[in-house]
Amino acid sequence: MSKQFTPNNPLPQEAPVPDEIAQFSPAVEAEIDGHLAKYPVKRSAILPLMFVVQRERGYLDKPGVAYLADRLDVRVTDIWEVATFYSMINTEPVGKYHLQVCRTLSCKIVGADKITEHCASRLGIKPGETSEDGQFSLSEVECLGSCGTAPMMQIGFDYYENLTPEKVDELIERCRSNQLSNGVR
Amino acid sequence: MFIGAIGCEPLQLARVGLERSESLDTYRKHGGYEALGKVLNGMSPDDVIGELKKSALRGRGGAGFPTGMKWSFVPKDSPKPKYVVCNADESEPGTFKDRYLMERDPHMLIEGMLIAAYALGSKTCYIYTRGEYRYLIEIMDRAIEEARAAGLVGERILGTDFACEVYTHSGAGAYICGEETALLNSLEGLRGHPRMKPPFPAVAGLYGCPTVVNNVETLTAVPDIMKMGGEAYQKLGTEKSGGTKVWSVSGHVNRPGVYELPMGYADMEKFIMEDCGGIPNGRKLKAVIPGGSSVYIMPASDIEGKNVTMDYEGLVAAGSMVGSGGFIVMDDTVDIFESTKNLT
Repeated sequence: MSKQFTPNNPLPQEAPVPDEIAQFSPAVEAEIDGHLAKYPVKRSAILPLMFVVQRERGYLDKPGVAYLADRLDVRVTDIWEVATFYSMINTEPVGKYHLQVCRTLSCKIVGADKITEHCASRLGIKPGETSEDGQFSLSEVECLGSCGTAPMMQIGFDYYENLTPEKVDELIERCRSNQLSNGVR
Repeated sequence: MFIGAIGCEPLQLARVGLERSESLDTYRKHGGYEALGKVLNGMSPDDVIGELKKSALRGRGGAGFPTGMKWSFVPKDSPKPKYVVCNADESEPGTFKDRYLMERDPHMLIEGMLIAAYALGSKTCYIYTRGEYRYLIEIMDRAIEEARAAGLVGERILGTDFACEVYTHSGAGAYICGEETALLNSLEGLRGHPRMKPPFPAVAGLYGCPTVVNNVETLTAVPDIMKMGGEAYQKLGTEKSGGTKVWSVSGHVNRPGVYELPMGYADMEKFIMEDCGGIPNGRKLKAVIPGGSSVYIMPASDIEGKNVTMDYEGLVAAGSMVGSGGFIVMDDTVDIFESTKNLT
C-alpha cells in the first residue's frame, strides 16, 4: 500500500522536514529502546521501529517519519527511502481491518480468485481500495508461505487458512461486530 | 495438512507432533542441546566444520551450496566481529517448511545457530524473518528468552567460556530480501537491494564484517549432524546430497503438507501418487514445479515412468532443481501459460 516513487514520480533529493514530531508513551519508548539494543548500528532498527510507529499511529505519517529520523540520527529522506521500498509499511492510512489475500500460484490454483472476488463483493471495494467508513482495506499479495493450507489471507498479522466463501462471510461478520482482532501488533 | 517423514526416521521433524513441542522442556527431553554440549566440551571449531563437510549438507535455501565449505570461507584471523545470520525470509513462492520448523521446534534453530557461532567465532546471531511471519518472531523471541534463562544464550553458555546473543529481526514485505545480500542490506536498515559479489558475505557481509547467512532448514540440520557425526548423516542421503530434505507440498494433491524425505528418495511419481495421496477428483497430473518458483517446471512426461530421484543430482538430471523444495503440483485443468504468468 506504499506510494511508489518512479522516474515519473521521483523522490525529491531532500524530503522536507515535517513541522510536527510524533511523541510516544514511556512504555512505547522502552519498547523502542529494546529494539535499538539489539544492533551495533542504530539504523538497523529502522523496520522494527516503523512497525511500532505504524501500530501507534495507524500508519507511518509525517510526524512519525520525523520521529524516526530524529531517533535514528538519519535524514528524513532516508526514512522515506526505506519506507517506500517495503510493502508492509503503509505511508497512507489503511482500513482498520486489512484483508490481504494471497494471489500466488499454490493459492491461485485452488481458488484464490474466488476468495478475492467474494471479499470484494461483500465489502463493496476492489483490491487496492479502502471502504469509505475506513473499516476495511482489501489487497492481493504475493505468497505468504501458507501454500499447504491454501487458499488463505492475512488480516493484519494474523493468518486465516483453508478459506471458503462461507468462512470469509463469517470472518467479515466478526470484523463488523468487532469480535475479531485486527491483527495489528 | 500432513507433517512428517516418509522413507526415513524423522530428523528435523522428529518433535513436531509432540505436545508443547515449542518448549525448552520438550526439546531437552528429546535430546535438545546435547549437540551443543558435545561441541562446547570437546570439539574445536575446525572439528565442527570438518564434520559438516563430511555430512555433505548443502544449503537448503535454494542454491544448494555445500554448507561446510561456506563456513570455511570465513577468515579466522579477521579482527572484525563475525556474524551468523539465519535467513528466515522464506519468500520463494510454494515454500513453507521453515515456517513449521520454527513454529514447532524453535530451539532446534537456536541450537543450530549457537553451534554455527561457536565454529565461526561469532558472538552475535540474527534471525531475519519475513515481516508477514510476525507470529513466528513472537515464538522465536519466547524461545530465546527461555534459552537465556536456562544459560543457553548470553554469557558462559553451559558453563563454558562461550558467549553468544541471538536476536530476531523483522523484514517488512519484500520478496528480494530472501537473497542473502539484499537481506543484509535490509538488516542494516537500507532498501533491500542485492549487492554485487564479490566480496562474498563470508568476507564482507553484515556491517562489512565476515558473515555466514544460512537458511532455517540448513541451520536446524546442524545439531543432528554434530550428534550422529557427519558421515552417518551423509549416509542417510546420497554421496553428494547428504541427509534428509524437508519438502513443502502444495497445489493439486490430496494430502498437501511438509514432508521430510531422505535425499535420493525414489521416485517422484510414487511420491506424488502414493505419499501425497495422488491428484484430487480423478484428474491427471499435468506438471510439477519441484523447488519453488525459480526452478524449471517439469511436465508429467518427465516424471511418469522416469524414476526421478529426489535429490540435487536427480533433479538436475531430470531437467529441474531442488531449489527451496517448494513442490507445487498442477493437474490437467491448469493453463501453464497462466500459471507461469502468475509467478512473474
